[in-house]
Amino acid sequence: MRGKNWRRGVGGLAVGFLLGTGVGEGRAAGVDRESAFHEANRQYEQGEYDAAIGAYEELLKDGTGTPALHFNLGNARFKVGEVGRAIWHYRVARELSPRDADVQANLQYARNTVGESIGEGRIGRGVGVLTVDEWTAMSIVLFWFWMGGLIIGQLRLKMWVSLRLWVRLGMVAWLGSVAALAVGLHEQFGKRIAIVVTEGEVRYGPFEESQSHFPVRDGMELRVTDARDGWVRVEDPRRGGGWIARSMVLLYPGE
Amino acid sequence: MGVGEGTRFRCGYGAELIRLLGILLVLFASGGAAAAAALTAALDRDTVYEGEAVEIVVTVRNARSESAPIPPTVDDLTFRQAGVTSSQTIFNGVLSASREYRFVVEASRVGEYRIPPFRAELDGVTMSTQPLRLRVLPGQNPAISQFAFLRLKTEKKRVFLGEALLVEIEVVYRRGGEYREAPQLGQEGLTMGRMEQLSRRGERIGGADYFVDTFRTYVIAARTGMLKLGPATVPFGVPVQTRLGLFGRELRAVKLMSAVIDLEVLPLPSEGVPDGFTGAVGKYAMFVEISTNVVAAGDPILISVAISGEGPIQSLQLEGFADWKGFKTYAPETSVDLKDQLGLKGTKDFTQVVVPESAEVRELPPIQFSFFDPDQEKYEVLRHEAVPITVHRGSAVAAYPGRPGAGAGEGEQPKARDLVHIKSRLGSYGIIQPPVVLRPWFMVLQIAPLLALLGVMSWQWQQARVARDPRLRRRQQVARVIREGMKELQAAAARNDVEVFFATVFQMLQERLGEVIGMPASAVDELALDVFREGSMDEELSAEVRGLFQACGVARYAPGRLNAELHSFIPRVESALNGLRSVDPQ
Repeated sequence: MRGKNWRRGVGGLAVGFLLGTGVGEGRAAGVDRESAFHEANRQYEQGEYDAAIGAYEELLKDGTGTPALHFNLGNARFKVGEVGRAIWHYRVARELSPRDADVQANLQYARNTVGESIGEGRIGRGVGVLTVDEWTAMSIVLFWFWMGGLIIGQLRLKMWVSLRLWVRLGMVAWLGSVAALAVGLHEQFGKRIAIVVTEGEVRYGPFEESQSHFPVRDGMELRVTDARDGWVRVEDPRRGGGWIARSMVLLYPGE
Repeated sequence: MGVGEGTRFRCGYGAELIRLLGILLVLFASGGAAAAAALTAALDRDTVYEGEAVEIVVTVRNARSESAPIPPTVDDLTFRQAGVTSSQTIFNGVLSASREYRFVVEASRVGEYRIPPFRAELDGVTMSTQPLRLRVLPGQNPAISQFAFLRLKTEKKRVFLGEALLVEIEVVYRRGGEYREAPQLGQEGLTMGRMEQLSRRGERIGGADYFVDTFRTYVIAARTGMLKLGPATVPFGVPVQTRLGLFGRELRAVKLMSAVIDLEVLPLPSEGVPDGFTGAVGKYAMFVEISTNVVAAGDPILISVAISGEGPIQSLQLEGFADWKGFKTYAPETSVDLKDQLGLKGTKDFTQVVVPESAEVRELPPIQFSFFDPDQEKYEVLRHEAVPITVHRGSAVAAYPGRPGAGAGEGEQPKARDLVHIKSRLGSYGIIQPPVVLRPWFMVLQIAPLLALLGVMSWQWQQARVARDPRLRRRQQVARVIREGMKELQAAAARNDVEVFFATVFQMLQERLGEVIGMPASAVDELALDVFREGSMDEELSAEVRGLFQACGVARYAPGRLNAELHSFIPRVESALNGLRSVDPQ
């Protein structure tokens, strides 16, 4: 009885402390961020895109940001003609909120305006129906289902006859989910993308003196294969590989 | 009869043997005499036609050691070694050995050639062949034309600059001939397109059956005036009888050559050239689709222009967007959908992004595409009139009704019509974390059921092993009885319950001895120790076990004598039971 009172007292103190300090500050900061976000949106609506970008960037200094923050910042960047930076923010927003159709739509829209984009392949788009973590969860569940069926079959031989089909289906489904997970991991983490933010040229070598290979436009997405001394080696499916100055691209993931 | 045949056989065999000995004798008598070493060269023909190969045979005679002949270097002639053959002959008792090096020679131009001597080192002396002469005549060998020839055909001989002219090349040949490359077409001043091969057909010419392989392509004149189309050529293999006439057929390489067609290339009319004409020649139609007519300043408008028809589709160009006032334009994205193998029918799509720079922009200017129709011999202009648009300072939502039926192709993502508007709620801050699959607990989650399955399988395997082995099963059973019996001993000793204590000792001894000698426990008593072969059990252990049995007997009949000794029995019992476990009764 005495112990319970002691615990209740400490709990009350902790709640009081949180309400009085941390949580209270968090709520205040949240309110401030909401109002700052609202103000940035107002600037955007008035066509003051540069000011809106500044306000959104200020909000981003607090951390990773929210999907809406990256989405709006992407829109603002797009409005001022910074297609590459817009695509980068849409990609981050999509990673934070994979199911957001608005993000998908604007990312696709921005890519369409660029005209040339590596985008995702047909398989990648199919696997993209679920996120990597969702595929992971599915593979865990299916694996447990399969293993569970095998264990029950071992312990209860009579049940195995009726379980057999389900266990085999479970195995096939598990293999499928693992394959999808592998593709999803490759699509999301195995490919590093350089998004062009400054129009210029891809060169044959990592030097200013190197011969020009092909021009690049703001917003083009190129696959990264190497990096060296302020240069990034990129690969274009049609025109092959070359080097581009690191300052001309944003890396995704990686910035 | 049988004897006669046998005699004939013996006679024949003897004659062969005598003949062979005679040859050996001659060889021996000659002492391997050989003529002097010599190096000669000969052409199989000294006059050939363009594209034909000729063979030079360099013969080395009577050399004990030799190096391979080295072909000379001659401009426009290539030498390729084709093989080496060796032979030996005996004439008038003189042994003559020779080796023939065969070279295939091909000339890349018509004319007369002097082939310098081949050199080789024979018996340590450098020797040369005599020089040779080769004439290469233009055109196709008339003798070959009976077997195979090329036909070059066009629809017309008068074309306009930039007009695509269909050309057919027919390879006509009789059975046995073969070729492995598509024909080449001489096209000075002309650009040649893709080539497609049509299916083979048969044709009867002059009473003989021929195969006809048709290749189709097109050419586009790059300059005006009289141009020569052709000749078409193809390397061809004509069957000839082999050197020995025995082992199958041999193909002689020749070059088939067609006639030349004179083309008259006319310039495009200089009168009535439309504005923005980019040199397109053919017959085309134009379809235009505009993504929206209501936008915000700075928002892009997608204009899709599809030009379809007949002509060199891939080279079509659409210009004029760069001149649009009040718009920022980007280079158009193009894609081509061809409807035929040659690439002369299909559609070229231009996706043009234009961005109105201010709200003052009121319309999209007209879009125009012009081309020259060679059949009508006049210019045609396709025009999509100006489209009024509304440009807001804010954001736009309305969409322009596009071309019916136009949409994304299969497997492509539909193109968004406009930028989705910004979000009004900030939402919760997210953290980009490494995926679950890379975290350690994911591995644990995956391994746990696997370990459970392995555990179950291991347990089942153990159960099955016990079920199959009665000795193992009994050993486990006895171990269990003894384990429980030892606990019972401790309890009985604590209670000083002599009867239960020794009854338990007796049962445990029965169980353990029964297990060791393979008898039912109930049938075991002190006499069972006699089953053990002499020397198989330690004397001390035997005495201890007997002592325990006797103690059990005493306890049964005079329990009062053992009251104070129960605890002291437990280590003895334990030791005896352990000792019995390792005894082999045999």
